[in-house]
Amino acid sequence: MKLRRILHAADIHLDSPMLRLEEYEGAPVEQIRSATRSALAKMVDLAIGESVDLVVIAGDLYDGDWNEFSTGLYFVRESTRLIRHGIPLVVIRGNHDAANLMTQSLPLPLNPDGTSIMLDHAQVDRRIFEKLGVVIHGRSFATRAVTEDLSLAYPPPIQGMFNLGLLHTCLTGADGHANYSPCNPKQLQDKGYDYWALGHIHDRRECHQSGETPIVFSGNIQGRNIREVGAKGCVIVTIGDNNDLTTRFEPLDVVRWQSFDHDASQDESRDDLINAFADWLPNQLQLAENRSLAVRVNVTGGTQLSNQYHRSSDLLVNELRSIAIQHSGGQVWLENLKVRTKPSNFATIESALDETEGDDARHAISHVINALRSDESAQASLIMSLKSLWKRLPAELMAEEIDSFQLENPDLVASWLTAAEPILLSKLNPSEDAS
Amino acid sequence: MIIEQLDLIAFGKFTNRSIDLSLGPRRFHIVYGPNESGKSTSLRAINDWLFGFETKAVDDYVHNTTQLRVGGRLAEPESNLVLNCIRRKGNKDTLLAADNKTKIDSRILDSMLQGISKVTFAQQFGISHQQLVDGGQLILKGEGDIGEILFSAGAGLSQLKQVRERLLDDRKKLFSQRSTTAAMATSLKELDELRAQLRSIAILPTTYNRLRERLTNAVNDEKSNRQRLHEASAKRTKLDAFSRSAQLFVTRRLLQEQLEPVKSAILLDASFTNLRRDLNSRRINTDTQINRLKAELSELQDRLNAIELDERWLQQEVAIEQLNRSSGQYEQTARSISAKEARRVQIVREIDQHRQSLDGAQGTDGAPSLAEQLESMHLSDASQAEIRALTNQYSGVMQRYSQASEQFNRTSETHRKLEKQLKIGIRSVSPAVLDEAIRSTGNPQHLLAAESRCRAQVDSLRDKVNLLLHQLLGFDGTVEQAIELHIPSDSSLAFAEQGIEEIQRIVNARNHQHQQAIADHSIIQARLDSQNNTLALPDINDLDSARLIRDSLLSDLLDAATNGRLQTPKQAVELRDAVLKIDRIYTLLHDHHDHVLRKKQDERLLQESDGKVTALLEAQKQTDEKLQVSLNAWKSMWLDIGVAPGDIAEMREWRDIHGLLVDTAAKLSEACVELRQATATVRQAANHLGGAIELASPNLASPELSEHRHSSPATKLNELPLFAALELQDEPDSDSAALLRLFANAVNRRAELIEQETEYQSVQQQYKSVSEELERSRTSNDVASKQVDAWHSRWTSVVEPLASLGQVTPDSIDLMLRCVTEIAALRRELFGIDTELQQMRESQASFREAVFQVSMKSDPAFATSNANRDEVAQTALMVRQLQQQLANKQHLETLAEQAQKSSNLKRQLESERGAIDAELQSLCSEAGCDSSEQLVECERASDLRRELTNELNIVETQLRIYAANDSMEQFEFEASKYDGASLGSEIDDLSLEIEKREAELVEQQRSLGVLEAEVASLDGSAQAATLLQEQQNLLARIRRQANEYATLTIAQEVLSRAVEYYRGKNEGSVVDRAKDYFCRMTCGQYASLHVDFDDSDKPTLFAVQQRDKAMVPANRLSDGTADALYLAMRIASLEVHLRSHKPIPLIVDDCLIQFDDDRAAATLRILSELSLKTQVILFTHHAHLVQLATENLASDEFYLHQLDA
Repeated sequence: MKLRRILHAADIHLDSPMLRLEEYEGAPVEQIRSATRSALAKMVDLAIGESVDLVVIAGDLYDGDWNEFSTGLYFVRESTRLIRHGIPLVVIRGNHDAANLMTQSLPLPLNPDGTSIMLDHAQVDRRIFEKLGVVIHGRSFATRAVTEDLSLAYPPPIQGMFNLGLLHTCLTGADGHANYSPCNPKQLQDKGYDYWALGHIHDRRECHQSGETPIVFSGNIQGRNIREVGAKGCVIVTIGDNNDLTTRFEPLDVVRWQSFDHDASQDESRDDLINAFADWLPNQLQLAENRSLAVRVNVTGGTQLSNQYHRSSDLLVNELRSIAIQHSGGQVWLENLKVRTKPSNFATIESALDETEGDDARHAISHVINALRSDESAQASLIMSLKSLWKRLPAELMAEEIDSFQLENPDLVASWLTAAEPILLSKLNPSEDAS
Repeated sequence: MIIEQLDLIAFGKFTNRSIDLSLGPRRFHIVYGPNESGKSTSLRAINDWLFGFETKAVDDYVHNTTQLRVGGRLAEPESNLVLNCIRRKGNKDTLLAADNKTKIDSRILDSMLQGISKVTFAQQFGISHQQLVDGGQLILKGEGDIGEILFSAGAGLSQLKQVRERLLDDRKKLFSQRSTTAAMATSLKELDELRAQLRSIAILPTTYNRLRERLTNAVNDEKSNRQRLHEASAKRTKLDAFSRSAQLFVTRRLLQEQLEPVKSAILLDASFTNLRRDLNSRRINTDTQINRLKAELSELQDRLNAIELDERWLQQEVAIEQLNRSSGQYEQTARSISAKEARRVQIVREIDQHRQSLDGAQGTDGAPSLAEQLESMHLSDASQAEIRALTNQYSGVMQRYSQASEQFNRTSETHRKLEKQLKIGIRSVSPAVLDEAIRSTGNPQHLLAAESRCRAQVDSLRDKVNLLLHQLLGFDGTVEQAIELHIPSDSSLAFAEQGIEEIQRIVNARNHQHQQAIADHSIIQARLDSQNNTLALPDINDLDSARLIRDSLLSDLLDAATNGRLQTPKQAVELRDAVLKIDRIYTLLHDHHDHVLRKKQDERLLQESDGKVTALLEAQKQTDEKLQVSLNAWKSMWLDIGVAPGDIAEMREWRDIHGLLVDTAAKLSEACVELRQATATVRQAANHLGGAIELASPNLASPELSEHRHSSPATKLNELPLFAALELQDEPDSDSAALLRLFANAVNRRAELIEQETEYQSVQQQYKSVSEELERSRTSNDVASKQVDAWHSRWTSVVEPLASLGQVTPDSIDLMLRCVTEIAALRRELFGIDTELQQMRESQASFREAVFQVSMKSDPAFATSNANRDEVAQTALMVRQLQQQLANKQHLETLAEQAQKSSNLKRQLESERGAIDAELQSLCSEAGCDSSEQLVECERASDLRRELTNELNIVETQLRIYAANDSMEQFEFEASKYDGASLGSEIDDLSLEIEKREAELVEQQRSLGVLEAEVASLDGSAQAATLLQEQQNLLARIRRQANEYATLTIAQEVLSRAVEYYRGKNEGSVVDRAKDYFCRMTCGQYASLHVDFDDSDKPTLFAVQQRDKAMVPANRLSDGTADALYLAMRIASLEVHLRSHKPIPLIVDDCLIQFDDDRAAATLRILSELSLKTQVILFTHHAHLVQLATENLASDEFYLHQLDA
């Protein structure tokens, strides 16, 4: 039998927007629009261009709370394009799809052999492709929160064929991902399949040892926030005569997320940060192969410029945006600047505070802030004055899972306390702003 | 840290200007300079020196930016740390050592500055006129909030209020409950609009499903209507067919009758006539062509017979062409033979020349020539190569040998000289002992400064103790007696004082009540007096009289009105006046009634007041007696211990002064001990240095050393009674001078010893180095000598075979070998040329033979006639002859081919003629006639039959169309059932139905089109997704704004808490110190400061007036006094700060110009006192301040530095 190729993708999250990108003059607004659509189109182009024999998607076509039907129709259009080229498609519903009304009512196209592209959710379903010698075992999520181990019910392999398991799972658990359909690699190995195509975890990873059956998370095809950095795409599985296989990653993303981490401990002026960013950026653009970049700048370390960095963060943001525009021709979006520096003599000041507590007006500010950090009741009274605003904030902000914006989030209050000190010092010492 | 010296090396207008700020123990330095003298420049210089230059330099108008330098000496007296450094302008490594080159680690300076930033230094450790004014305004514009005042003064922040307002403004710009224009309100509005837009374009699953259902229904309806329309149309078509077919049936019958006569005629197809005409035409053409070809063939045969051909030449074609090709080579070979023969002659000549050259060099004496000998020796190439190699090495080997010998001789000489120097050199004494003594002593200035500080401390404390003793009013004893006083305990005094104060408070209250009662009594009495002075009142008669007048006037008026003689307004006015008069009388009587009542009441009150005043007077007397008893008891407590007391407040202050006296005396005792230790340290250091100098200078005998060592020990201050120290006078500073001299001696002596040591070590090092060099050059010399020997040995063995030639040198043998090599090469070339000549001659002969043979074979006659020509010419003639024969042959072949073609064509035409005849015969058979001439008639009959048949077919076809799927018979049968009238009516009905259904169908299709377009528009557009992305972008903005708002809110709260926290920590200590300063700065106008709570329980600062002890809120003070209050708080804060921190210089920039002379003098005294704890540098351009300082401060209480204009 000739070489067969299967394209394994997952977590399309079609029409899911890029998060936390505040618009500004010169930002690549057009480039990020419909990024997930472009990534899906690239996946179909790749499948057709490479003449793959089969495409499998391991769940989460859509976002659960997004039911705009154009999204589904776009998926129908792209899957139809695939099927017209004679490439069958097999999909399972993930936790997001299960909650999405589109997956219930959208008329999907049928595969060239007349089978449905979506696998059943009531039981483990399968699709046999006799000519390819490939069988797909998979089961869709029936509801959003499937906490039982779906893999237990997956049947034994069909002998003489290439058995591929399609599963939406957190496996043994991962940060930032709900604990759905948990199982462990050994269980999957014991099934005796030839390849496990997994979805749900957005970072690409392989969960098998050398010589074992490949258990692969292909990751999502387009990063959507700063936690999803680096190249995103799909895995091409090439199967030989004896069902021996090789895998190859193919990037599909059109916007790439990256973090620029800068240790400011050696900085002598703000220019050091600006220059370091200007040096880093061209290399990243080259690595991203002309894709748009969404970049977060993290500044850390103990530095004498700490207060200045905090105080002039608005100015810094503008300077970094200017660098981004200059070096990329408007291809880079500065997502955010996070200044988490500390004064270089922080330890000295801290110990000095212990010894001469409260005898210096400026240190009184530091003392109060430090006291507030560890005083929950004081924090509670602090946030009382914010409730009038918080009541009016959009529900979407309250529902964000990453860096929760709920007033009860202690990290949020801590970040405000950290930012308050340099703001106060800046306003009390306005002359320092000039420097 | 203090600044001991400021060096304005190249800064502003200054070049190498230094200001010495090292003097103490009071480190109060006044830097005076008129305008343009560089006062502000010096201030900036201190800042730039300590914290680095500003990016934009303003002091580079004399010295360019790269040359700017400011520096000096900083010291930490408590740790004896001294830093001499210079600051240059730049981004990196801007701190240099005193040499202006060596980089200094800036952390040393940072450590001395205790991490204080430039801004903090300027604000917390700098007081300018503007700061003072701003600080005063802060107090006046505030609400007297002690926390705010303390915080501002502590941090040197005069704009705290503005900061709070800015924070609030910034917050409001972002968000406010009621604002619709704040940034966040705008963002939230945009979000709402975006959401509405999204809702309007979003396609939800339910919408999509409903649309699909409507489309399906519309498709079904359209399909059903279309079916019914189709049925009606079919029926109408059939009826139409019946109607139209009636006439066709008649036509069919007529055509069938006309066809009957010609129905037997053979039907010839349409091409029959054309075919017949074409065959006739072709037959004529063919005959013409055959005749023309016969003539052509005859002419060609004649031309063939005229051509001649000689086959012998053609047989020799290959040979002749070969000869032709070789003829060029033959000519080339002939030319090469000539050239080779010329070269052969030249080589023979050259060999002879080489031989003669060799023999000439050797000389000829009849023996075999040298060349012959050498050639006969047959020296191998290897031998020759070795001889040449040795020849080449010869000069190098000899040169190296010569250089090595020379180097060895030179080094030997140097070695001998150094050895001699070392033998006569004497190793000096080691400087280590001095080094250790100097290091352990450290900087003697520091020791002396420490001693000086201790002495100044003792002096200062002694003065303070005397002053305090003097301030103990009512006590005439000594300090010792004052300290030994057994003052009544605080509790017993407090108890007694509280009793007195309580009674005093009662006395005051009763006094107040008494005064109040007297005042009330006076008021009542005054009222009664005024009531007694009332005017005469109208009586009842006056009232009756007025009433009569009124009644009379009214009666007259009524009569006049009745009689028509009314004289208004005169009568009306009179009546009104009469009424008013009655009213006034009535009012006066009523008021009098009230007055009488009030008078009676006041008389009663006056009587009560008299009693109250009397009672209060009695009670006051009793209380005064009690107060006097308590006061006597309290005074006796003081008198018992020998103190004549003042009032309670004075005695409280007395106790404070006494307490301060006791504390100061204790400090004086400690200071004496420290002074003794410092003096002992100085002496010990001097002894140590003296001993070390003696050890290091055994030959020196310094009288100073012995004098110092045997001087008397330092005065044992700690062994003296404490109070003897109060009388202690300054001793001559002999120890200090001795220490400085000994230290200088030690340093000089150590330098000398180090120099000697260095010189000795240098010679030692040199000797060692030259010894090693000598060894190396000896080895090199030996190696070079061995190389020369080895060369000679090899040379001898290699030239041994040439011994017969006599003495051979490398130069002569080289020449010989080159000649022999040249001869051998020429001989090899000569042999090669001979061989080539032989081969070329053989080749020429072979060509000539071949030409003869080919010409004979081609044509012997031709060979004979051309035998006298050369071979090349013969060959050319043969080639021309061959070409002629080849051209004849080609012409012959062309003509033969042409004749064959013509013959073939003739045969083909004859065959075609037969075929045409056969076809014509076939046409006759087809048309049923015998000859081709009858064919035309047959064709006419056939045409008529075909025409009629076609018409009949058309009619029948039409009928079949009308019949549609029915058979013709069935159709004819059915059509016969209808008559014309009923058929037309039925067709009209069907047409109406069809029209109606068609209209319906159009409408259904239009609706269907709309629905289909609607479904088609749901093509997966990204419009909603784009809006969703925009919504996310907007959410990111709102999140950022909310973060900013929260941060500002928390910053505002933190600031409030920090102010409160600072107040809690510092209120007691700072206000306590500030009281004294404020009192002194206001020259006693204010006695104290007091913190109390205002109506809203906020702690508020009050100034207590000396005159009446009235409490004035801080924000009600005058401008100048508010400035003084701010300055007092600043200095007090600084003093409290110094309790737990090392000193940092206080820079005062002309901030006293608002003060009058008294206040300025008082402030100068305060600054001078402060300078005992930290350095104070006052910059001023006011001469009167300098004058005030001179008049009010002792000469050692401040130091004046003058800058020139």
